[in-house]
Amino acid sequence: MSKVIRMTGMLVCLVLAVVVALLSITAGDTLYLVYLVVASLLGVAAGIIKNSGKR
Amino acid sequence: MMPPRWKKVLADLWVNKTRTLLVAMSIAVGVFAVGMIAESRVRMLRGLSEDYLRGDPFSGVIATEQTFDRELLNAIRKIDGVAEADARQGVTLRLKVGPNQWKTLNLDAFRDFDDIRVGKMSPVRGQWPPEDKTFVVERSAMNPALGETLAMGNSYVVETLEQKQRRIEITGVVHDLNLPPALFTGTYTGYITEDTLEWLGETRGQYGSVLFRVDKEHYFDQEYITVVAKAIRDKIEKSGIEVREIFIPPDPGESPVASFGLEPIVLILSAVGVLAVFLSGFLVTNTISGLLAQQTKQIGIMKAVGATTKQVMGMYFFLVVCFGLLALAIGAPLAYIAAGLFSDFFATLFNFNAKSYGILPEVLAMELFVSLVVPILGATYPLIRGSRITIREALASDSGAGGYGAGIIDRLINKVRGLPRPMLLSLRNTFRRKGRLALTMTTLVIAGATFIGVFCVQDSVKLSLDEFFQSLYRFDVGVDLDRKYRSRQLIQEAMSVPGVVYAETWGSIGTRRLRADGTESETIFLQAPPPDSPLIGPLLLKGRWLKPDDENGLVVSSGLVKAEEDVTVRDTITLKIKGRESDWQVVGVVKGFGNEMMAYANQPYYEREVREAGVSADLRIVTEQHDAAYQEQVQDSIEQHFREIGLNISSSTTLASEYQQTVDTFNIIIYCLLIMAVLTAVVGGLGLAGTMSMNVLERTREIGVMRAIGASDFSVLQIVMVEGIMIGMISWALGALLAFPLSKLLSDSVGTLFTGTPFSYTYSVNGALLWLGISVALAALASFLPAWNASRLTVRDVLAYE
Repeated sequence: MSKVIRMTGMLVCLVLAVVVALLSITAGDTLYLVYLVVASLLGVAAGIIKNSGKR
Repeated sequence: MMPPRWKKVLADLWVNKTRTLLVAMSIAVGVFAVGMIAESRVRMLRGLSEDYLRGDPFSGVIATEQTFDRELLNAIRKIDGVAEADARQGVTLRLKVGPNQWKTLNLDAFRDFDDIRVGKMSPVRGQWPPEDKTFVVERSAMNPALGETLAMGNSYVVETLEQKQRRIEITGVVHDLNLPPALFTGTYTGYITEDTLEWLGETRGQYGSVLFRVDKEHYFDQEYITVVAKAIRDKIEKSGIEVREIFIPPDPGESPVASFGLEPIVLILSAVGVLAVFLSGFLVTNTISGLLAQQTKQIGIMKAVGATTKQVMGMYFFLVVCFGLLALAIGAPLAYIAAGLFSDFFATLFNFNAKSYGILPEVLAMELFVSLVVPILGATYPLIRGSRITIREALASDSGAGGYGAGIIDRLINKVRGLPRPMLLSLRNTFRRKGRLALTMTTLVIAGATFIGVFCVQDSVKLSLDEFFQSLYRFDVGVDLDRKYRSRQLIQEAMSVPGVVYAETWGSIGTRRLRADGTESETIFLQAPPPDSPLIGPLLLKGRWLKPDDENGLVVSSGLVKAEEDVTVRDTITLKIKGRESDWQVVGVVKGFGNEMMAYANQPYYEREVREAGVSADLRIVTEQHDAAYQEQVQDSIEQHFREIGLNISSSTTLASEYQQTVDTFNIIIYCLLIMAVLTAVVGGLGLAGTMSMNVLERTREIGVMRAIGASDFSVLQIVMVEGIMIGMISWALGALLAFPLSKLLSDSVGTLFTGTPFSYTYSVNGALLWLGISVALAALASFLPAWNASRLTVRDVLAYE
């Protein structure tokens, strides 16, 4: 995977995490937990994208 | 006997303890953030909401200009939609809390404490209900943060508006969730019997406000509550009594404590929790990827001696689970303890009881998810790749120290001259693994930007308050009198007090706008300074300020224009003052603080409209010097002088105390934001420690070579630590830059959440400098342990290292 694609992918994950953080402001207790799960998965995704293409 | 592969896993965990601890800490940060924030949310908001609703809170309060009796109250109770209503009669006193130190005390009197139907309070300790000639105090008055120490069992001097002094004992403490905390209002509240009320000089049975609540189905329905409030208002007005103000909470069914500031704080923290979890997921995935990359050769060797892909994957999944369990054991108890401390801190500030619900299954589930599922997910992809690698590829792989020298940055660094050789080495090492550097920097840069952002918010709050006070509060001492006195007399008497250089009186009254469709606005505070008053210099947003010859000219605040969207300059609007309607032409819009609905008119015209010429209850004074001590000294002299000549002061304030009280309120928000900045800094610091540790591991052979040619322990320590500090400084520079957009966003959001409008923005240079110090210290601390380990490597260790 090229550096540009990796950088774009990580940025998309970061932007989505910010969107999720903003959405979580109005969320109830249960929905908030869902947002936490989504954010951590986005973090994992960003990490995988960053490390893809490496041995 | 334990199979060798599990022995290897345990050895991996045990032999490299620093690395084990670092990986576990990276995961534990996420567990801690999730646990603490989710637990605090529940402890604070759920506990508060349950307690509040149990006390049958009011849906609205209607204050009247004249007093009314129980007959009208009984009629109100029969109105459709009114589930219950109570009338309240109170007396405002001054409570002596120290030599020349007075506080405003509102005492609410009840005929029957067993028949409180709306807004019940709950006894905390001592007597309940109170006996005659004593009072029970609302517990927020005893908050240590207020500075004064009220104590149960002590007697205090109180002074009525007519300057009668009485000594009254506090015999009990109650908790009333219907009130904003004394810490924010500066006013204390207590409860007394009707006999005590009479003893204080008031007549029993003359009510000044009615509290009502709607049925529980409509507790949260503001539209429904407004309709019911209007029906009550009509009923009151039909009985010949004027309604002064209708108050419906902005979030009906929610405690004013929650609406007042707690909820925005929890919401901001919740958003931070989400971002912390994202960063933690990112950090964990990267750390584990790096760890597996280091083990590629070992995977190759294991495969060469017969390990299957499944066995290899099983081993590393087990390793990751061990890291996760260790992180859970570190993070979860810490999160539980921190949530308790955090909620108790805010509970004391906001006057509510934070409740512990034991171990919450949903919180524990989230902690398990972050400690086990996230690392396993993060490890899956690199593991699949790593374990499928052929023996030849694995043995040929080199997870070494990264390439250097080809890129633009590398070439620029090569041109650096004049630095000592170890420093040059540190500089070049910093940029050897650019991907890893970028990752470490990401968290540190975000941490820095958040930290500086918090200080920018603090400075922006101060700037906004300065603008507000300098434009609308250009006096040193403000005096409110119990009734209207002749303005000329008030000014003359004020000027006779030593230290007073100027005094003027203002007109002020609560009004409502009558809209074209016949509906009425919320209360608008109409103020009337003298023409060309030097005590007001508002920031004009549109139109112009009042001219001395303006008749019905009106300048409105930005808060009013926001609430009444159709109001613009040159419009004519109708105001309902004392039940009479009058037309006003809007000539300008000024910047107000938050959503306050203010309007300003010329005093002569205002006096004609309210039919009160030459009298006022609002005196504003300028003193010779403007420091807090001098303002207080003149305030005391004025109070004493006015008391001697029979002018009854209901309250007085100094500009310095007003300013400090507002700043203190916002400081609570700043502390909360700082907690989130520290949390991000911890994630960043751990990331840096992990990076430095990996760098040292990868460069073990280089360190050995350096030692073999004579490098001392100190030189090795210096090379590693300078690299860490360099990363800290670069991240500071980038963080300081990112802080511009981030702090603007943060400042606007906090301003909008708490005051309804964004704050005036300013960048905090002090915050940036403070973060420079912290980031260098953090980087030094994070790189010290790896540096120490590196400096202790012997040439023999290095040659044995694979």
